[in-house]
Amino acid sequence: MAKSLELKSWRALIVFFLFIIFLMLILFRMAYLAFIQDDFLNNKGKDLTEGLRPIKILRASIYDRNMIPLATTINQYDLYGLKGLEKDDIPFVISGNSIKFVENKLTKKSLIKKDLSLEELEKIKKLRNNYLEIEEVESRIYPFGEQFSNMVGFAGKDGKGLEGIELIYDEVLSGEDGLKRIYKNRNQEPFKKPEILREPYKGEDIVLTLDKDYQFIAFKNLIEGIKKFEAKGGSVVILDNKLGEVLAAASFPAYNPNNPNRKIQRNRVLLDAFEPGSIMKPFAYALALANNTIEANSKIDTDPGSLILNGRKIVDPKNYQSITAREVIAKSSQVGASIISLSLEGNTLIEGLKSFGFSKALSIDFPSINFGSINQRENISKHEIASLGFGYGLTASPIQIARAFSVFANDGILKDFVIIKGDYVYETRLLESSINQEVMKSLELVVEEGTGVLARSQFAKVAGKTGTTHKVSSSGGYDDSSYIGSFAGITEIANRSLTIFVTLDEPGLNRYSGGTIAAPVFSEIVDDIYHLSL
Amino acid sequence: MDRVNVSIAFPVFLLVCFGLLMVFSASVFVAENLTTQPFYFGYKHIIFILLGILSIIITSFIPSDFYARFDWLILIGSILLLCTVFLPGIGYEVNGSRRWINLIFFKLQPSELAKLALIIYVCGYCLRRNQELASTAGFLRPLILLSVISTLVMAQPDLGTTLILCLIAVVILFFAGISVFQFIMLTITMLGLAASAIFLAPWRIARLTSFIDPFQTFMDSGWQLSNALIGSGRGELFGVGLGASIQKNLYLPEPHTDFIFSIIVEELGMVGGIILIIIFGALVYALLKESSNCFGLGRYFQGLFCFGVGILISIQTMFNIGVNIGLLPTKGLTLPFISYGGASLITFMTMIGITLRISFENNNKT
Repeated sequence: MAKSLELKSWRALIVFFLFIIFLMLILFRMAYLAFIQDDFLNNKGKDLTEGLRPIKILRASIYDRNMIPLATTINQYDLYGLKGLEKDDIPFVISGNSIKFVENKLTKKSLIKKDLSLEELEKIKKLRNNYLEIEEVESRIYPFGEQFSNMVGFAGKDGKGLEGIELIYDEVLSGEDGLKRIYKNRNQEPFKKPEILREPYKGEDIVLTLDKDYQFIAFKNLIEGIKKFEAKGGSVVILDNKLGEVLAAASFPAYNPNNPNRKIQRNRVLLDAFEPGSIMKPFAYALALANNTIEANSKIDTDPGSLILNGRKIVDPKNYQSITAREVIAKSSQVGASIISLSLEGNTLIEGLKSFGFSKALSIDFPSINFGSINQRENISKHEIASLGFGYGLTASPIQIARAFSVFANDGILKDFVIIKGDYVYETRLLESSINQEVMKSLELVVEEGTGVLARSQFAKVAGKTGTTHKVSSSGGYDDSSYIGSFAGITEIANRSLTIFVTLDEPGLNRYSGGTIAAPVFSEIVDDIYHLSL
Repeated sequence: MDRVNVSIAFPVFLLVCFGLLMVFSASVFVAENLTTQPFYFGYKHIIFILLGILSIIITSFIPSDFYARFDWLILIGSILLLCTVFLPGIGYEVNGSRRWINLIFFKLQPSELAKLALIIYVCGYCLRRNQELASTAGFLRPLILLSVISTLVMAQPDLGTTLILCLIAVVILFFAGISVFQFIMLTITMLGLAASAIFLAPWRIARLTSFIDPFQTFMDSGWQLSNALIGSGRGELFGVGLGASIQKNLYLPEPHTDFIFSIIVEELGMVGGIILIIIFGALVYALLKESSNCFGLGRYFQGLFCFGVGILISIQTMFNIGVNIGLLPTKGLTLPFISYGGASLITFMTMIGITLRISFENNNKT
C-alpha cells in the first residue's frame, strides 16, 4: 500500500488548485452579471414581464336639457375564438362561413359573437376555456338616432369625436386615459397588482339646451313637410325667447349615427347660409322706423307695381297701389320694401342689419358653422340697397335668422342664443319698445291677412313672416326653378315665448312659396307643442 | 451524539433547510401551473428529506468496511438498475430522455445512485490494487466498468451525468496514483468522446451556440439560459427579496431543479449566492479534513471515499452554478442538497451518512 496517500500530495494540490481557479471564475462571473450586465439583463427581463396598458375611461355623455341622454358610452363584450379552438367548444351556434376550421380547429382568431348579454358573459367566464377570449369594446350609443344626428354628431370607434357637438367638444368629453404598468407571467396572466402610473381623468358631461320632445316635434313635422311638398331637405329651429336657449334644431337629410356606415349630412340650421329673401323685410322696416325715415301708417306708393333701379326691374306680383308700410310687410311687396330700404342711407341699413346679428358670429361652437355675409361695398348701388331690404345681397343661416326674429318677440332685445345649458346669454337692446310693437303689429298682420295665413294656429296667437328665395344656381345667377320656402314665426304657447323658423329646400314646383309650404309646417309644430304641454 | 461530526452535519443541515425553503419558493408557480397545488413540489421535497434522514440513520449503523468488501456488488447492482431504465413499463421517459424508473410514488433516477456506487467501487479498487494502479492492466480494469456505466448513462441520454461520473472516477484515480501519462491519455480520450457526443447531436450544438450568446436565440434555444441570466442580473447585490422572484413565473424553466441557483441569486442577490458557496466550501473542507484523518489512521478506503464525496460535491456544485450563470453550457445537473429531486437528494444524504459513520469510527479509534 502506498504511503503517499495524503492531501498534501502534489496530485491533491493540483486538484484543489483547479477548483480554486474555477471558483474564482464563478465569483468573477457573478459579479459581472450583478454589477456590469445588470442593466442589460434587467431591461431584458422587463421586456418580458412588464407592459404598459391604458386605463380606459368612458367618454362622457351628452344630455338634453332634461338630462335625457343623447349620446352615451357603454361597454360591449365581444367573444373571440383563438387559434386552436375546437369546433365543439364554441358555445354558440354560429352562422356564416367567415370562421374557418381545419380538422375541427380554428385556424385563426375569429369573432364568434358580438355584444354578449350579461348572462352570456357569465356563462363564458365559467367555461374557463383559454381559447375563448372576451374583448371589451366601448360602444357609443345615440338613443335618438336621426333626430339629433346633425346636431350631436358622432364619435368614431376609437372614441374620438368626428362630427357635431361630439367633435367640437371632443376634449371636454373624452377626458384622458390613465396608464398602468402590468406584470404578467409567461402565460400572460397577471401575477402582481398593476402599478398605476397616471390616474385616468373622466371627461365632463355636456348638457344641451335642446329638448328631446321639441326636437322630435320639429323633426317629425319637418319630414312630413318635406314629403308633402316634395322638398329635398329643410330645417326647423325653435328658440326659447326668454331664456335665450335653442330648444330644437332639426335638419334633414339626417343619418343614423349608430350605424357604422353612416353618411354624414350637414346641419342646415347652423351651416346653410342662404339669401333669406322676403323674411328680411321686417328688419328694413324696423330700421326705417327706428331712424324715423318712415312711420307705421305712412302711405307708400307702389304703383305701377314695379320699380327700375340702376337699370334693373323690381316687380310685385300685382299692383298694390298705395299701401301702408305695415301692409308692405303683410303683403310682402318688393317695391314697397325697396322704397322703405331706400329711405335709409345704405350704411345705416347695412350696420342696422349687422346689429341684428347678420354676418355676425354666434356664441354657439360648431364645426364649420357659417355666419353668413352681407354686401357692404363702398359705392353700393340703389338696387343693391333695395335688394338688402327684401333679402338679397346677404346670406344668413337659419339660426341667425331665428335669432334676429327673436328680437321682435323679446321687445326689441337681441339675445345671443346658446345650445349649452348654463352658457351665459349676452343681450343688447336694439329697438325701442314702441317701435318693436309696431313691427310686431306688421308681423301679426302677415298671419292675419297677409302671405302667412296658413301659419295660423287654433291654439295660439301667431306672428311671423314668409320668405321665398331663388337659389343661386351652380352656373351663377339665380335658378328660376329652385327655391327655398321659409317661415319665421313668433308665438306664445306652453308658457313659453318661442321663435320658430322653418325652411324647406327645393320644394316641388307646384307649391314653393314660404307662405304655402313653410307656414303650414310652422302651424303643425305650434299645434304639437300645444298638445305636448297638455 | 457528541460522536457526530458537526463540521460535516451542520453545513448539510443548513443546506437541506435552505434547499427546502428555496424549493418552496421557486416551485410555486410551476407547481400551480402543473397541478393547481402551489406547494406540490415543496411537500414532496419534505418527504425526500425525511427519506434522506432515514438513509443517514441506516448508513450510520453500517460499518464502512462493508462497502469496501462489497463494492463490486454495489456497482453491479447499480449497473442493473441503469439497465432497467430501458425496460418498457418500468423506464419512464421525459422529453425524449429515459432517465427514470417509475416507482409509482416517485420516479427514481438510477444515474444518481450510480455516482455513489462508482465512488465506492473506485475507492475499493484503489485500495485493493494500489500497487498495480500505475500498470496498464490495473489501470484499465476500472475503466472498462466506467465505460459500461458511461455507455448506459449516455444512452439515456445524459451527457452531464456521464461527464460527472467520468470526472469523479478520473480524479480519484489520479489522486490515488495513476501515472501522468495515463492521466493525460485518459483526459484526451474523454474530451474527444465528449466533443463527438456534442457534435453528433444537433440539439447539443444548439445548446452550445446558444450558450455563447443566449440572447441571440432568446425566444428559442437561448430561452432557458437567457432567463437564468436575467434572474442573476436582476438580483444584483442583495436580491429582490425572498419569494419575490419574477423569473420563476414560468419564465425560467426548471426553476426548482437545475436552475434553482439562478432563483436564489435573483431573490437573495450575489450575497445570498456567495453565502451558499461558503457553506458548500465549509462542507467540502470538513469532508477533506475527515479524509485526511482517515489517511492518518491508515484507513485508505475511508479516506478515499471522503475525498471522493468532497470532490463530487465540489464538481457538481461548481458545474451547476457554472451552468446557471452562463459559464458552462446547459447540462441537466442538480445543485447538491438544494435542488428538488428525490434521487439526487437521497444519494447525497446517503453519502453524508457514510462519511458521518466513517468519522464516528475514526473518533472511536483515537
